[in-house]
Amino acid sequence: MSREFMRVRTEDLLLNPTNRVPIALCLDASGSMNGAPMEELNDGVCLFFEAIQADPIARASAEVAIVAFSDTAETLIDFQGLDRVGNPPTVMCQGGCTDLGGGVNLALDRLEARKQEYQKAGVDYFQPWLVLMTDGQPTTQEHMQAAPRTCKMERAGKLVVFPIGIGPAADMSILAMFSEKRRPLRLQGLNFREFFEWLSKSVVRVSQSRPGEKVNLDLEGIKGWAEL
Amino acid sequence: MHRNFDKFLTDYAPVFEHNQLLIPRRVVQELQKIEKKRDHRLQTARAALQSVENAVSRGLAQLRGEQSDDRTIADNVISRVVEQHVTQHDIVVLTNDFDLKEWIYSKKQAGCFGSRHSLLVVRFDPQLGTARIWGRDGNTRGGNPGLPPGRTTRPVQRFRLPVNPNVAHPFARTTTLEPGLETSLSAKEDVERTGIVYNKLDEKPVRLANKLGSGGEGTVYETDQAGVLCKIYHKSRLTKGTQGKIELMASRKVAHPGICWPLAAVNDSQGVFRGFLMPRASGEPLGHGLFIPTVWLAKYPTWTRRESVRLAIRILEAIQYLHRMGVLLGDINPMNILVASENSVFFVDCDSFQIQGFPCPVGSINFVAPEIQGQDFSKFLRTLEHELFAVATLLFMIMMPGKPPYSHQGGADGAANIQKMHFPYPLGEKSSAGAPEGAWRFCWSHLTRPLKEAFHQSFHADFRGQPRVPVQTWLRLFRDYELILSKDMAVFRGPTPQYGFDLSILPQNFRYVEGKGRPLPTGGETDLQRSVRRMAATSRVVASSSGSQPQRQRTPYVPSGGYGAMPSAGRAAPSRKQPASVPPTGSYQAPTRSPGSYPGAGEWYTTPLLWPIAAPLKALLEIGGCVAAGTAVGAILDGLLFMLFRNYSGFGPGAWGGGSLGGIAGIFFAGASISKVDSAMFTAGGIGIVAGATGSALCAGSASWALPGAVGGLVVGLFARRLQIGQQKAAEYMHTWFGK
Repeated sequence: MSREFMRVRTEDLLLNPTNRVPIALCLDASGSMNGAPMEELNDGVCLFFEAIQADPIARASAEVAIVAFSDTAETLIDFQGLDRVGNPPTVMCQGGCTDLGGGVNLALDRLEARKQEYQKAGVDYFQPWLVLMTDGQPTTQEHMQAAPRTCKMERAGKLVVFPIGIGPAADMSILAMFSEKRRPLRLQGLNFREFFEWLSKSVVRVSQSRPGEKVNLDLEGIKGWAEL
Repeated sequence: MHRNFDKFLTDYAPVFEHNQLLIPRRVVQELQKIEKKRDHRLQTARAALQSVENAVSRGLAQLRGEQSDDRTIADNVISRVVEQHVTQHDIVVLTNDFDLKEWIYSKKQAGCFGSRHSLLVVRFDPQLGTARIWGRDGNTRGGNPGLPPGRTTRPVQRFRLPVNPNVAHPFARTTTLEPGLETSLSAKEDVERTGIVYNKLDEKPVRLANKLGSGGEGTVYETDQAGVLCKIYHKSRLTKGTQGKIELMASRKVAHPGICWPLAAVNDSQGVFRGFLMPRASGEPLGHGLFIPTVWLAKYPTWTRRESVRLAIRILEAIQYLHRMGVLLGDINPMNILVASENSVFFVDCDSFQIQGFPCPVGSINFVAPEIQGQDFSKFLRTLEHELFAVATLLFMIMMPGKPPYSHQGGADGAANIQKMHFPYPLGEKSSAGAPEGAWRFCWSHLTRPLKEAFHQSFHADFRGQPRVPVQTWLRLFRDYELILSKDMAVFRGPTPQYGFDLSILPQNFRYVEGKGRPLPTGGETDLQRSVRRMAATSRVVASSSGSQPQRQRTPYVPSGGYGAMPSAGRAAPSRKQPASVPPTGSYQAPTRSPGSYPGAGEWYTTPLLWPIAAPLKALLEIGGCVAAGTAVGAILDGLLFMLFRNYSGFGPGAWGGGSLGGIAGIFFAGASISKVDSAMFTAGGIGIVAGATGSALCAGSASWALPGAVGGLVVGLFARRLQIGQQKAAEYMHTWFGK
């Protein structure tokens, strides 16, 4: 499996000339997400994949990694072209803790590794995106180290961060630490589908832009999913 | 050759003395062939050859031809020469061949040549035996005296048509911007709701039908006229500049197939300018199509390099036509060019063209020349030189399907790459490092040398500030390339490396030339597979140990995988309930949180000069060196322990045995798993520890001495693994440097 996975992943670097948009979904999989929230989240991710696969350029351009964090953080899929993935893996709740910082660190590490592969292969890429979703408070202290990391990358124009809170218990002050440019938004109810639809449209927009060009995100569309 | 040829030549000798008759060498070769056959045509052929010889010796004619003509027939040579030169010269073709005449006139009528020069066919009239203009209708032009003998200067002038009907009157060239471009128009009526606009030219109403698409500037609708679309600008985008440009454009007829030139401006019922009518285009934008080559090939499996070259020629012809009209395309980009087939290309968004004092206000970074990167395009007029950069980029991206010229290893973003002008592809001795891995290097190697030179002249920093390659030259180069690719002897298609040009648009191998450069690789592995293997082996992703696949299994490579068939059937009908093609959880995980623990890249062993030393060193180690190294490390550790704890006396057999066993085991396992990812390194180390410990315990008879031997084994194992990576790296470099 891994061998085939590596081959396919590398081959895509060598045969696909499209500018990549790496997107890391860093998702809370702690026990509190169990039940309806988790189902909605999985539906949203599925919709996200399908929407991107429906667009010819975004499909060749978007590379998605999914990191889930609970007691520990783990990579469900690493960055690779959606052309090759098919359906996304299902995120499942495990354990009661929320290692928010660990998840972010892991996502950034995977991103760093993938960027090196882009550079090595001579593949151009857009500013990477980090989508961070949590429904509570972190139970570890790792976010104290992870948050400055994302802010630093954001300042250097090397990362776009979307911190999203789920439900009333989400600690927005912690989420706010991860981005200096974009204030955290709270999801309306369980509008994961609306959020991911908006996200896929934004990805399509960016993938059709030219590298280095400033892309304005659809701010109107945010009203469809965020509590403003 | 006609019996009256000699007489014709004598009659027109004064003309031919100044302007020699060109006879394709291929014609002579064909005559010689007929002569050799010694059939009923022998006498005619001999006479013809004699005529040619006379003509040449009198200085009235010249033999012309290229090596490459040898494989084709004379007709093809003539048609190619005509195609090549018609844009620069008036041409008279002397032939009695009906097909050739028809070909020339059909091309001329279709406007393929887009030339202002005249082109006529002359033949020997079968009845009169004199040279006459051969018209399209198949008859010799009746009342026209054609070429009256003895009057040598007039006939030539007669050939020159005063105006070529195929070319409309070109636009004036200017260097100053039209004033008041930004003045906005105030439109009140909501025409998109009423659905009726008025053609400015004939004032007839036009009904808007289905909405086809909406962009930043406006919305495009179908209309009640078949094949005619209407673009309605957003109210905020209505300016005097847009109106002026569209009205100017619509005032001239531009007749080149595929250019969706504005037909007429449209106004609302209050007479305010709102948009324009244009012919409908068909096909798929390059950006959605050919520029994502794996998907394109899945859709059009028969599309080859020949089609790509043909497409490039069609595009160049249209661009040349526009330039002759005094129009610059300005914003050349993959979304504005639609491909219906290799012979049918459409240029849309023509309202962005630069005409007279109306600038093209937009640009796509990849296509913007370095000297005007980052400028505001609505504030100045572009020059032909700026346009030629965009043309070169487009051609490059057609031949290297989708890859921008400045993408390179370790590159920054598009704009910065262009400004630095770091063009990574090699040209003979001249080579900048860092050409992107994979198919792009192979694509590049399958171009002809003159094309590579032209790309270098367009993109390489050495040519900064110098004139870029003109469209005319590009056309010639691509036509030559087309001719080469049309020969079955010179080309092949498929994943097996062969001599010659690969017709695939994503070749899997470098180009190999018989008797030159590297020999044809054997062993069944393509150059692409080799790159994939090399890159995958040095990648930092670790698969979890739960993978049940046997370690050394070689999965047979399926070429279609890389060519777009890969997007599997499973994805065609995505369904939530289907098992995901990737195991849901826990299958891939990062080895470590902190990067850099892997014996990484960019070290001494990647230097090509050190590689010849590193390789024998490794061999030495494999044979006996590991024993010595393991012993030494073990001994040193033993010595240290002895100094710390006086009663420790493991020095000797324990270190020797454990170290060497551990070293051998480490190397063996590192070697066995060479093509695996870096988990192999840990395996090697682990085995080294176990073997070392066992060895120490056995040799020294006491488990307490196991430690030094074990550590020695680990170190040797790691070292061996590292060397192996080095060797692999070095081989890769050898390949890049000495390969084509």
